[in-house]
Amino acid sequence: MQFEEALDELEIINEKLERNQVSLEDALQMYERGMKLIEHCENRLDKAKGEIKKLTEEGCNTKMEDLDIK
Amino acid sequence: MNGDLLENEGIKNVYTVRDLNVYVKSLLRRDENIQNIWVRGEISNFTHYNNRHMYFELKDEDSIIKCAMFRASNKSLDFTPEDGMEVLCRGDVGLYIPNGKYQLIINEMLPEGKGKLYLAYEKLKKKLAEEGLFEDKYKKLIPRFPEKIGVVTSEEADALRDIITVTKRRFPNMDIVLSPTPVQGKGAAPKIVEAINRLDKQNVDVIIVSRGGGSLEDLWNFNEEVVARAIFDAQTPIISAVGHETDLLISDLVADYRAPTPSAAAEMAVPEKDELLLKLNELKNRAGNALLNTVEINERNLKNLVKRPIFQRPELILEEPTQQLDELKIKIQKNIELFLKQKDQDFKRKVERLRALSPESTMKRGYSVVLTDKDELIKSVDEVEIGDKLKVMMTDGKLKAITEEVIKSKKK
Repeated sequence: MQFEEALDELEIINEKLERNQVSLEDALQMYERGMKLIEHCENRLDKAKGEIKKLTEEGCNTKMEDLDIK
Repeated sequence: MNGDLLENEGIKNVYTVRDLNVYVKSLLRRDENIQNIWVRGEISNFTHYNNRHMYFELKDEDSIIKCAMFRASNKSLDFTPEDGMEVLCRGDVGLYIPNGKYQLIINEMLPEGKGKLYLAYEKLKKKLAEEGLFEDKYKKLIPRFPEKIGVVTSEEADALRDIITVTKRRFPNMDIVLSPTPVQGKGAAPKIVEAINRLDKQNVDVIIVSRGGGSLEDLWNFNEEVVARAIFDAQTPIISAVGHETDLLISDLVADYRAPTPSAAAEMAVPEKDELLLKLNELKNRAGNALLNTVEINERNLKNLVKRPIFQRPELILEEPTQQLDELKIKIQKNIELFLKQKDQDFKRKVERLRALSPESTMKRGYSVVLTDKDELIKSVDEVEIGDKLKVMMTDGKLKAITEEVIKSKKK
């Protein structure tokens, strides 16, 4: 799931919960879903490793190597 | 000539010299073919009075035109025009009313080398615009939450350092892929194209094509058609950040987004992680509060429900139906009594009527009933023969008799 989709769904869940028009059972289910989405998003934010690479050409192949910033 | 003479000659309208010049000037001004045009020529008789307005002529081999460039326009020139210089000028054709000479009022002037580039730029811009390459409908959205960003620039460029610094500040663990290429000098354009194509095949969410500020010549590769087309054809959304804010290059026009500087491009492409974490936290709190609220509301509703009379005195539920039932019982009893009374009266009336019809009352009036000795009712003399034994029934008893004679009435 895309980060953006997850955020959108979270927003919808919150709006529904805040309107207090759902049954307690539904509210609990939605809350559970919301917490899963938040976990997903948090994991997603920590997923990247902060790597800085550069593409190099070797013959016809594209290679990836670490980039040293001077 | 006085009025009479004019009338004699049949002449109606006579211009003053000034009116004529004003009229011709207005004609020139109205002609779009000679307004806001580019003219190339060599400067001669250049004068710059008190560092204010510039007056000179533009000439080529066999023609010459008077020119003026006023203070408001010439103060932004980044070179000093002089006699013999080949220049390219943009201006409007007009007429100077006091001397009746037509002239070019110049708004922009470029030295020939630069001028050629400008013309090429204008030409390519027009061509690509006509093809629709700058149209909004082709602009891809820059993803709000990229996982990996790509950069096309030189490995030594300050632009790269700026982009990396801003990216790391905003999102410390963002992955960055550089597709290195020379970004200035002759022959750089095809290398830029290759770098874009190579990076477009990688799994990056957005590409920043960048180089820092420089002269028009330095930035020129980003005005090349091949670069423009590579940017247009790329599948990955591209942010163009070339030169300074004032430089508008073809790459800026054709890219999905234009950033004024490399840093600004990184700010556009990379979200702030802290902000996102804050946002997630806020969403979490909101969901928690909303759930708590829902629980409280349900709890309150339950309490209110329990307080209602029906739960406090459940017997009340039966109160009304019981009363109804009682009423019905009373009604039915009354109706049955009435019914029975009526039936009883009916019966008594029928008994009376029956009594009135029985032979008993007839017999009381003096009639008798005659039966055979076998107790069969006799209705005709034909049923009796002489010597038959008969029973005669009366109200107070019976007689036994023997038939002496049978006399049949003549009527029947």
